[in-house]
Amino acid sequence: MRIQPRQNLLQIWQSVSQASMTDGTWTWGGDAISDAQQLLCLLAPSTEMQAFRLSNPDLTQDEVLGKLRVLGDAIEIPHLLVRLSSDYLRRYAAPDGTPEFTGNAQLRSAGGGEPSPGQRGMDLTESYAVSVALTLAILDFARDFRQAVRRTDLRSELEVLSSLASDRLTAALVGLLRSYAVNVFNADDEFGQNLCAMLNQHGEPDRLFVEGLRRALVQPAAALRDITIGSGPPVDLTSTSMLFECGWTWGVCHEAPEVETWTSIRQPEGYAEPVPDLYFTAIALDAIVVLFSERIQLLGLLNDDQQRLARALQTRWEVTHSYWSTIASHGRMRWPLEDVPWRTTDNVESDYFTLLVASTVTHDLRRSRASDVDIARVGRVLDDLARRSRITQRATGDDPALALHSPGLTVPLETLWPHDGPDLSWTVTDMASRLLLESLRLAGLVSEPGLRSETLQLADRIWDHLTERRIASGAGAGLWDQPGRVFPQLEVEFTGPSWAHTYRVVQCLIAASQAITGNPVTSPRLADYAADLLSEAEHVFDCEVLAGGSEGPAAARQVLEAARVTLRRARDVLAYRPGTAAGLAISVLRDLDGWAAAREDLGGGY
Amino acid sequence: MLLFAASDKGGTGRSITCVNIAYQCALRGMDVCYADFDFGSPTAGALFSIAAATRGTGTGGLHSYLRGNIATPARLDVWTESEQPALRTRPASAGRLTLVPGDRDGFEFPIDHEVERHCVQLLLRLLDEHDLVVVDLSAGRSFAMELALRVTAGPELRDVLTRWLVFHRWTRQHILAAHGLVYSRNGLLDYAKQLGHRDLDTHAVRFVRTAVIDPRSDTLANLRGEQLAWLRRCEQDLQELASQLGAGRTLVAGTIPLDPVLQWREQVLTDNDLYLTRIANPETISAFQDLARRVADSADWQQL
Repeated sequence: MRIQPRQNLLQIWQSVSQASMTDGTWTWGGDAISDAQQLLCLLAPSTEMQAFRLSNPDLTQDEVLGKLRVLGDAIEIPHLLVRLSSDYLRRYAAPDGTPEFTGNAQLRSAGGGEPSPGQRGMDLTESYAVSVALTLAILDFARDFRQAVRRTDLRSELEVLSSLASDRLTAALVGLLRSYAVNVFNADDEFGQNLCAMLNQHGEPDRLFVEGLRRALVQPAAALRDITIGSGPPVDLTSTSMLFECGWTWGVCHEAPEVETWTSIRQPEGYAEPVPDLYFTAIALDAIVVLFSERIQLLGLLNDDQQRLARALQTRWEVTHSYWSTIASHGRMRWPLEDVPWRTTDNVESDYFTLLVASTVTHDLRRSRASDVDIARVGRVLDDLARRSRITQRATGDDPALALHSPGLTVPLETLWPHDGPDLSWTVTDMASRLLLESLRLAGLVSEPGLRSETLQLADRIWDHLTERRIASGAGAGLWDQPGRVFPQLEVEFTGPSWAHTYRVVQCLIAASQAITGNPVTSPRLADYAADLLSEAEHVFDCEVLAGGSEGPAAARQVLEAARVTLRRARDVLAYRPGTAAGLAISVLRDLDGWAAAREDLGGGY
Repeated sequence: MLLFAASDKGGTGRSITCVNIAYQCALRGMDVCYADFDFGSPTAGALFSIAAATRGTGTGGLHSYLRGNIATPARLDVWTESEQPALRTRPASAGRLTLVPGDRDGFEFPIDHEVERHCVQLLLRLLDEHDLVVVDLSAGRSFAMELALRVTAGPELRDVLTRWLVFHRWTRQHILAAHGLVYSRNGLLDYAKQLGHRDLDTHAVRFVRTAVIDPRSDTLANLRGEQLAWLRRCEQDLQELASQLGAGRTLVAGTIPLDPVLQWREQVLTDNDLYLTRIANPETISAFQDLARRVADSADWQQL
């Protein structure tokens, strides 16, 4: 892998600290989403990677401190993070303490007008999602840092911080529950026809196809009946021509009932049309999976109420995954996923949607411990996407594919409430970094070395593309995103950093480091080869010892002693590093062959 | 301010580091006094290159004074008495630098109330005339350390700003030893408590790591990759050990790198050694300067 997560993260941290800290003051990005991402650029690696830990000043690595010098020393940095986190949690809360989940930077209005103040105040799913990541990181960080702190004033500051973060987490979980939507439609109406057109890859007769699809979806459909918290009345899927889709919409669903919580929180009214959107679904799925990850469960960061909410979300997560990966791989021959681009039920096509669906399939492959054959199919789709989006293939002069990178994909926010502003949409521009994240995730699943390096090579090529897209100078130097540097035909130039992009790259590097940690992926073929080599090397060694080699002068004894130690080491690592074991065995065979060859050289001279 | 220098084991570089702290503080304009309480081995004169006191003074030093044999102990002005050329020219902005040596060939002696009384009087007088009094104590749980804790517990010195530096080499054994000296039963903190010290807690104690090899240093360029990989791992283990034992970075006042000059000749490192003869490493001198700054800077003694 050419991506070097440690070195790149160190470099990013340096750029992040320089971009954020000017003359001793921290400059925030601007809205609740972007500020959270900015903070996560530091907090995420520091809580997820041991080497980047900042919460124990005793053990902060010197290289890390060197890069973060503008933020202070080993003691000042965690202190600063505490202050910044508190500042964030207080700033994005109403005067009564209710957390607010806004985010205006990516809000666009269709007619060109400005979103109204009322629209700007709406809670957004993306804001819920990033808040889950942020509050978990803060809770983790604060708990770890507390062990290093003895001063009572600082300890109580940490307690206040944890309780603010915990409140925001609860509110975010409630928000995610209330923005979950199930859209039930008839196979004959527009949604149904669009869905069938996308999924029916082999032109089966409509009625048969719908029947088959309903059979395939029987599990998620059954599970949906139990989903009630926050999502309104249970859905009815009994009619034989009914189909559905499930997932998250852009905000709290219209008329979503309130979720009961142990602590009272004000729950905003919903405006979103209860129709799932692929983009927000993918964002929410990514946020929720962290909640029941091993790391968070082991840390025990969630309180009982949050555990209950998280379990309710987990049910939705599972149903949604099951739904999307079922339809993505429906049919016996070609998967709908492989028919790029994906077309949504509201008849919008985009390569980006294919990527999002692939993401849900990847998650499902992990869960079902899928075979490399299926993983390879998703890998080919990702490779295809990288070419189609001109990441690994040259762009033509006025290439329409570049619109995905800039100005980006526009996701309309369908509302069901008479509001006072223009129609809204959401802009998404992270095709390249999301593609990298998905390739790295996929590489983490592969158990066959050849396929793994193929997938990692794809990741490397996307990474090369992304490094080119760093901002060269100005406030955001060293950070993302400057698509104009790789696509000169795009006449856009950004000076400030995009925290959304930068945070996504940070996530990629964390994923890359996780893909490297642990023992290498090996094949049974290599293991057999290594075992055979080692067995021969041991045999040759035993022969030499039997021949009295160890009784000779010191130089000869040393060679045999070195061989003995090498063979023992090879035996030790054989199970998890067969390639290394083979290399060690070969070195012994080569060394000892000199002796055997010399003995056989009996020709000439009497 | 009173600065006590302690170490559990000998050979930690406690005295040589203290001498350099005193010198650097004097360069910063402070009036500094160095009192040699290493009663079993009174050789501070040698560190300042004062020939008349290489093994203590022959004209009545600390031993005689504390035991009541003389009214005042000898005092030597380092700027005039030293034979190290660079020390003989006192920079215009520098403060006083006084050495209070022990007796020539003096040895350890037990503490009684008389000794305590003399000690209090001496420290009060030295504190009157100096901004900083560095008291270099014998290694281990010594009489000198007992004396230091006893006198600072009393009413006369109770309100004087007092700080402790505990020196240890950067090895497993030394970290464990330093931890023992500070935290164990009858160690520094426990004994202070028994004596009625109210505020001698970790906020007044800092560790100094000496003879440290930085695994990232360029001076290690000749090591093999295996050795470097191993060294980095050892370094990480030591950091974790120190952190667990309450001697981690948050309680470290300074880290003095291993410097050949200090191995072969213990001396005050001056700008001469850095720029003229270039026998010293700049990192070593800047480590002494950092440590001198921290000794005096209250912000660095705030607890986390």
